[in-house]
Amino acid sequence: MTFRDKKHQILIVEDNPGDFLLIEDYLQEELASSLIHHATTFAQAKDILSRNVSIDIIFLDLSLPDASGESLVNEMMKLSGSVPVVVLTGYTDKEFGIKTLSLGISDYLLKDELNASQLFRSMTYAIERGRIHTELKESEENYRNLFQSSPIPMWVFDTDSLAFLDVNDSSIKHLGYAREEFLSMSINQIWPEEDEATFEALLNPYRKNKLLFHGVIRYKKKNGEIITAEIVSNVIDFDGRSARLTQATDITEKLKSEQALKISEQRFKALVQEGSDLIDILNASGIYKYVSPTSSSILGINPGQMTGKKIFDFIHEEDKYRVMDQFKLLNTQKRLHILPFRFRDGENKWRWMETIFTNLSDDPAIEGIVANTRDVSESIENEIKLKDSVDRYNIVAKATSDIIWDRDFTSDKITWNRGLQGILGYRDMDAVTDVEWWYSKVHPDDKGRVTGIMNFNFNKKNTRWQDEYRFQCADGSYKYVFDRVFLEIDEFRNPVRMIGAMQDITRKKEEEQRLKLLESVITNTNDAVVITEAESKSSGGPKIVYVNDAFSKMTGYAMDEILDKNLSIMYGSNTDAKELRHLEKAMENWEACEIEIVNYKKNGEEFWMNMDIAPVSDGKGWFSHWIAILRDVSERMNYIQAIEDQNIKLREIAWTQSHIVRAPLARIMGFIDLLNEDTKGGEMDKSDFITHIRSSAYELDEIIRTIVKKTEQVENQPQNNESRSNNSR
Amino acid sequence: MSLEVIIVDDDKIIIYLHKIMLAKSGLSANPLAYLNGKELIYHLNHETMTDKRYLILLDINMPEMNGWEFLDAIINKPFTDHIFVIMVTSSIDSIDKEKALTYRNVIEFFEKPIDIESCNRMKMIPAIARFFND
Repeated sequence: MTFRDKKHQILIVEDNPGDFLLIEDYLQEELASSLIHHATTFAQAKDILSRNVSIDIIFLDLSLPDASGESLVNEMMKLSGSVPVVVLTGYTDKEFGIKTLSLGISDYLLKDELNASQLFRSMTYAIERGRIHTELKESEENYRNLFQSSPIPMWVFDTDSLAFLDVNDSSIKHLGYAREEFLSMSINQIWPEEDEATFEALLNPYRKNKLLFHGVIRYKKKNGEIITAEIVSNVIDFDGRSARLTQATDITEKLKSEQALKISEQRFKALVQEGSDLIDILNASGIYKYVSPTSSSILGINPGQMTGKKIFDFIHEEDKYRVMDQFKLLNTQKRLHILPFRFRDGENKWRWMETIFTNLSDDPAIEGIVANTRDVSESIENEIKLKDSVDRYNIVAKATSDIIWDRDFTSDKITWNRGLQGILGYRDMDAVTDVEWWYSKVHPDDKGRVTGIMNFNFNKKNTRWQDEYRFQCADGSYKYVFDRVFLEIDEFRNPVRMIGAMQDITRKKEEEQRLKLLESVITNTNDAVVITEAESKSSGGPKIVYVNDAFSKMTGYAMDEILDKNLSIMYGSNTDAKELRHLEKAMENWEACEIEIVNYKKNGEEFWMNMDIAPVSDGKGWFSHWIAILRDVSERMNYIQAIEDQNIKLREIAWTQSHIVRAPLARIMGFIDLLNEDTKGGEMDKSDFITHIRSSAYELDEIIRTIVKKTEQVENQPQNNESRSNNSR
Repeated sequence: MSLEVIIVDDDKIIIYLHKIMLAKSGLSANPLAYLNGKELIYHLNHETMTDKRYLILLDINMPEMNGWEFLDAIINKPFTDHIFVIMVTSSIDSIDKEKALTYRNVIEFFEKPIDIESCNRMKMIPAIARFFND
């Protein structure tokens, strides 16, 4: 909307109807949509203004019936407020016109010179000026509010006197002085004494120039506390005086935390950049997201060359998969220690590195896996060197009891150590022999194999191998030797020397053969032999590790059927549980034990087995196995059973016979008693008695003859009984 | 209350001999005699006098019903408390003696033959001594 289109409300205060019509005419010519109010007296104008607040401009005639001149202007200015007033005057007195301007009117126009365009222009200016004036006033007000209510302490001071001219509420609150106190103070009074000279010097140039001051100063609160503040100060005109508006932001806390942050950053930098560890951040697939600058000093690779590449591509083939497998565990584990692995450095050499991975994917500052890696090459190499030197030491130590031969390929002679004389007995021989001599002393049966192995390793340029063979002594006997051979190769891969350390293992061999002999005894004996582990892992007893052929023949179980099982496989319903408990108890106490129990063969056949079991201890005295000798004692057991059966029968016979024999004897004894009694009385028939005694005696005789005959038969019976019981099974 | 003495033995000569001894010793003037336990059980089952007591001289080895079987048979008889048994046997086996003394009715064990002396000892056995105190 343009100025012209706007519907202005215009008040014309004019008592002369001719002048009014003229002005109205002019206005309508330019501003057709305007609403024109007409007052002919000051009182009328006052009335309109008191009711209508939307008047945009007032045209005022200076000679009204109820007021005129300067007093009229003054009265009107009181009423109009921010509404612009344009004076219309017939006076040609320009002096007065100018004077009215100083009274606050916007413009004055001479009625005689009035035309439409002039009127319009004057009105436009007046309204616009009025609007700008109002806005300025409002903005000043806004700024004032901003100053007063700002949470940041602000003050205005006189650049000459340094006196406070204004302070905001925040300053009052912050520094602790009341407004009145502030306004009686100058800014150097809030400076700490020790800073005064410095600040004075700092401030001085700014008292003259109009530049923006930006710096950090300290000031003192009313309670004496010292505050560090960031100051922004710019020049303003304060009621015509040169002043500075100062804004003071308290940065004491900020400084403290900045200081702490700085220290921790420095510490971190020291760790990451100047430490001896390589600190990297990897993503979940092992790609470097960040590589610490120490990679240059440790590996000779710039961080930039590693970033974006996969860690595994730097790792030795033999170690790579171990590291990858462990890396995967980071899905579930927060922290992992990776044992030394080989890592390719900037010169394509392998370094032994040790890493600790920490999964910090959840940490927004990291979002990855932190790898803390250390070069441990030195300690690993030292370890390897140490092992080598221990090996070498062992060999040298052995050398004192070994026969050392040293073959030089240029001369093709062999130099021997004192073992040649001491162990092999060649006392009067020179310590240097040719190769043929060595060859001639190897047992004919071993010769082919020994030279075969030697040629194979020689052609392959293997630097170490070992062999066992028989070597002839001075007395013609053979010693078994264990020969460790080292082949020395020069830089052109040509063999230079071959050194052998022959260890006399004759005794070991003999021991071996003795063991073989013992083994063959066990294998070939008719007694069944079972060897088990020492510890029982199941309730049936310890695991069987060996059975001989006799066992298989006796029980029907082949070796591979019974291995890893235990002896309980042979127990059954007629196996005496009491005997088994006896065995169990003995085994618990590592004691030898002999039991006789009924066992069952693989085909279910029952047999009596005698088992003699004893613990076997190894060289250190630990029980390592049980050895059990098993015998089929069915025959003996059956024989004993038969004898026991017969004893019972014999006892029965003896009992019966004692009754039968004693019957006639008792009669005879009875009659003898009677006869004895009778000598006293004499009234009984003795011939009767004699008859009874005789018949009883004959009966007794007959009985004894029968018994003797029966006993003769019984003597031959056990044999018969046994064959009978065997047939019954 | 009277005590009837009964000899049980399959050997008639022994019965004859023992009768003489019992009479001579005054243990019983005219004892009853049976050849096996079965006959005696039959006899006892038909006895009616309730105040009568029996002293049985019992042999072990007999046909039909031997001494053991007899002892087993009377355990639950109503007259069992009226019976005193003295084993009289040709057995000299201590096992037999031990076995005999496990029976409640058995009061003593004698080896054959019994003589006057044996009979006098029988009279003094506490369980039956009261019958001979006159």
